[in-house]
Amino acid sequence: MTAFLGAALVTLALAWAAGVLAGRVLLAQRLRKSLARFPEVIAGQGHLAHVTDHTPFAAVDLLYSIALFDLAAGPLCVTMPACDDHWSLQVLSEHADNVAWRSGRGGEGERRFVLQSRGDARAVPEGQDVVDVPARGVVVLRWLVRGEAERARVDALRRAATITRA
Amino acid sequence: MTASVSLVGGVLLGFAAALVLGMAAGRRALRRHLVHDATGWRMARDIGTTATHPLVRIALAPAYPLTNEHALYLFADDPRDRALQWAALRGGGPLFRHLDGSRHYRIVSDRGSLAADWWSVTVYDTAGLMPGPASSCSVLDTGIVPAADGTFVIDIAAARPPGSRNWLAAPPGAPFLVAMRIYGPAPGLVLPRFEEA
Repeated sequence: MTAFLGAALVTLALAWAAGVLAGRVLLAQRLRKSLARFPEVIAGQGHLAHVTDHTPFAAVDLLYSIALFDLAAGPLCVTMPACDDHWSLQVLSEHADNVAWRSGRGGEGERRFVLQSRGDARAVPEGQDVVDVPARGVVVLRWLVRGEAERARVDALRRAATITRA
Repeated sequence: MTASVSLVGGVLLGFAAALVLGMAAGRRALRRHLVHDATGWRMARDIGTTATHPLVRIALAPAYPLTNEHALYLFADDPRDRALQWAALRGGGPLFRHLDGSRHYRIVSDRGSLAADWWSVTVYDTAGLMPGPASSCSVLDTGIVPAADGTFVIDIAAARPPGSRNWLAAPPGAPFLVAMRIYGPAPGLVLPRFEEA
């Protein structure tokens, strides 16, 4: 009886752990695979993909720019040009957890963010907005488009955004 | 019972228990993820966090969902449609029941304007975004014509109802979906109702 219950409990624990692990691995894989459509994202650092139709149920009133990042070689700097309406910066871990967020209503001027790996003691020049994030993940920039007349203007704005070695 | 028989039996019971408990946890997480509340919306809760079931997270990963603190994603639902649209999840879309393009629905905010940074309402057909300019299937907060007291109604029907100030065209006679996105919601935000007119 002890052997029976012991085997049942051990199997339950192992199966549960395997399920949780599979969920993590498949989630990271799906996130990466969703970005594989945009070669510039997969190409490596410094490449923002200015995507138009990343999912069939995407918001029509947002423009997205997306980049994969890896901070093994040091922090990265994201710049967003001055704009006059809502914008945001979302950072997801490689497992798609929301780990950082910045947003504004426009009128703030050009914004610079330094993506720094948690625990990285490297000094960042003062006055920079340091975003503490895991070593690897995805950065998603959003810009609001108020009507079709604005689309081309906002699109030009987001194409001026950059991600570079800090 | 010999030792090997109890071991095999124990392993089988362990697997069965993991399966049953895992499915129960999934159902619970799904119910929590998609709450069909009194306002008539199905609201995605806890998305973008570890509180959501891995299967839902895997499905929604291509949409890079924000947390509820930063954005609310509301989906209108017709409980008469018994089939949840799981296929949408495969494309990175929400789980929903279809609305009926031959009926007249409306979004009612009778507490005035919404306390949020900005919001929008978009009509999708079963494949996702409909062809044509964004203005024909989506409306932003700034595109709404409110009443003098700030309250507003958005009609969603195939044809513009008489006297409607705010109208979004539904695909005539076809199944469809309505999504409302509220970005930067204030803590005390009162959700508008979704109802059939």
